[in-house]
Amino acid sequence: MPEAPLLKVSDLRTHFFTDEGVVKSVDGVDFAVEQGRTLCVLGESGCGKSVTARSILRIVDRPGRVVSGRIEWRRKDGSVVDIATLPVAGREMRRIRGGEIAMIFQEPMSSLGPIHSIGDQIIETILLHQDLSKSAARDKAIQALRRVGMPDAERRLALYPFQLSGGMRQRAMIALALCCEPRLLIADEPTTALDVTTQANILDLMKGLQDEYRMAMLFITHDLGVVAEIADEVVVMYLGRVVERGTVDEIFHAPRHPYTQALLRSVPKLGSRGENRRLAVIRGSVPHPFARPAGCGFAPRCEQAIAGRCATIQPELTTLADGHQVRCLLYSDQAA
Amino acid sequence: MTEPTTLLDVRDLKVHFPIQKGVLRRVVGHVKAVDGVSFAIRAGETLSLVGESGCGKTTTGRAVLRILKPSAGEILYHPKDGPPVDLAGLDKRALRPYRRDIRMIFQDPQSSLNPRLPVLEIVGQCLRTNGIANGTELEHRVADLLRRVGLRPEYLRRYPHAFSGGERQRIGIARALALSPRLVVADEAVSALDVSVQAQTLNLLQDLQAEFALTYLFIAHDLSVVEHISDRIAVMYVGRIVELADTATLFARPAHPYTEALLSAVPIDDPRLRGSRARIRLGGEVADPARPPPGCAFHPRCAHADARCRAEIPVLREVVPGHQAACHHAESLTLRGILPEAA
Repeated sequence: MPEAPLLKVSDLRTHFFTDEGVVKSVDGVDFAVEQGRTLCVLGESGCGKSVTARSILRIVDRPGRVVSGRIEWRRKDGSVVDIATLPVAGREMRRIRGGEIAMIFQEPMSSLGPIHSIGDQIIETILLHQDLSKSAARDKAIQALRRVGMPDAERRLALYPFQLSGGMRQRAMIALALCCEPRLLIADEPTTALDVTTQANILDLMKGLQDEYRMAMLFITHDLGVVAEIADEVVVMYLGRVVERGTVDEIFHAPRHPYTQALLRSVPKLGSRGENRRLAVIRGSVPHPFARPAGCGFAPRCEQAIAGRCATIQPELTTLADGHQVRCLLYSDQAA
Repeated sequence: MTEPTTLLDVRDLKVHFPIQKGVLRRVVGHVKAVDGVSFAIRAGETLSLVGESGCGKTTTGRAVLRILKPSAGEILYHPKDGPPVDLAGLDKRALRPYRRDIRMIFQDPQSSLNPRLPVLEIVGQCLRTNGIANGTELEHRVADLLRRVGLRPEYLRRYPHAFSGGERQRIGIARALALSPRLVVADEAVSALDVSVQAQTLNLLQDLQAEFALTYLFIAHDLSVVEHISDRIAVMYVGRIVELADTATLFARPAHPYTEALLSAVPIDDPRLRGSRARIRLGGEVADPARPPPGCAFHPRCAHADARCRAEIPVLREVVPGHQAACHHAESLTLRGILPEAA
């Protein structure tokens, strides 16, 4: 029997109970991450990709709550635990968070504290998760900084985040996330705020570290270029739901869902300016969270919507013959 | 075909910010944000300024708009009628007539619209203060502007919070266009937008350019967007322009090692071509504009640097007609672009 996936999320729903009503930020998300692989979650702002990531670590801010679904995490010993049912601040959850699953953010200052040196922060994290002496933890912290390409790591241990440049701060955050050798790294738009040359360096670094540790990555992004560079599998989200799931090659070369197709067409492609100066657009905009369409969330903007059906029927995630999954009525009769 | 007319001629522009220290606020140095930038914008074209954060592209844009006072240099503006004027030297009052001709679109549609004003005010304010329209006439004008940018004229009395990010950016564009400007400075105007909204906005900017014969100074860091929209591109590094060429040439045959590195870092948008492009990894960090290294500011990171680069600042010069580069070795280097030569 093949091993269970490292992380398996099924029918995850995370809702925010605000005074004005319930916002269903995540409303039916399924995917799996295998060891040593990279899964990209692709979507525009408000599609629920960040809330999905935060749900896995159970760090959703109030008034948000994971209301249903399973988040099955395979521990080191092979046993499987459902993160969705663990107490948020319980011992087990705290051991997983930061130790087995680490997370990095777009803004490094959301994981680095401003008043402690980066060395102290990394050493503290190591001591929290591992049974090491202080000096061994210090050596490990230096190693971690070296590994993320921080020159002069021993001296920089004593520096505070504000003394580092943006790119170096990003590296310090990655070192902090990786110091306990997590088996899954969740990266929420880690390169969005960076310049292209720094972004390229950080992506290379992350790929290298992944090979070294056989770590899995869950990479949240809206940038198709980044997806093309690093993903093995891709999940496309729209309005809180997974609308398509497949390998990176399928997503780029044979996208099935009209939203994915439209998204790929609307990005300016290098070298295509001679042919067509106008970009294909997706009409309208993402609906307001309180005004979700009754049927398929994308129906009002979809060029291929079937009159009378797409606006009323909520499509199920259909698995096609090649294993590709798509949530669209156009494919409902092609289920494998 | 007639020679393209120059709309704006920037010559040796410098913007230095003093660094002050101590209780006496003594000036201990200068951040040379823009340090000798020269370029010309032709009427009707889109010129893009690209570069990494801190390279001075935004400061250059702000100096052109005269939100900032340049420390030195000229900004020669060619009005529709009359001789060119140097905007760099004008005071507030003398600038007024030209403020109508050069307008700005901001990056963040969230913070650039006053949340307490309805759209009618946001877009119409400049029409009223310039004595162009008020009352019903103003409403008609604003409604018309909204229609032009693809918003419904009924939204006149709504407040910014009632609009999505993309719609807000359209309001910002309508405001920039209200006074029928000739030059629009768009500072990262689409960077904060989602992919689908970004496409709509880029199309709109191009349509409006054709309709109103606008000239754009487009400031951005996303090279695929820049490639899509620009006629010519100026690449900046630590306060200076290091290369200026038309878009196709720059992407096919860069003449400055920094441009080559920048292009090679653009993500390849096809997973099948992964790893097909040789990437140039820049070592070290961007130089500090308060203490730039001697000689070429790029030399500590450049693979081709020699003694001359460490001592002598290269000037921006024409390498081949229409293609300028600020590199001592521009002629002898064979640098790689990321797009094939245009046929």
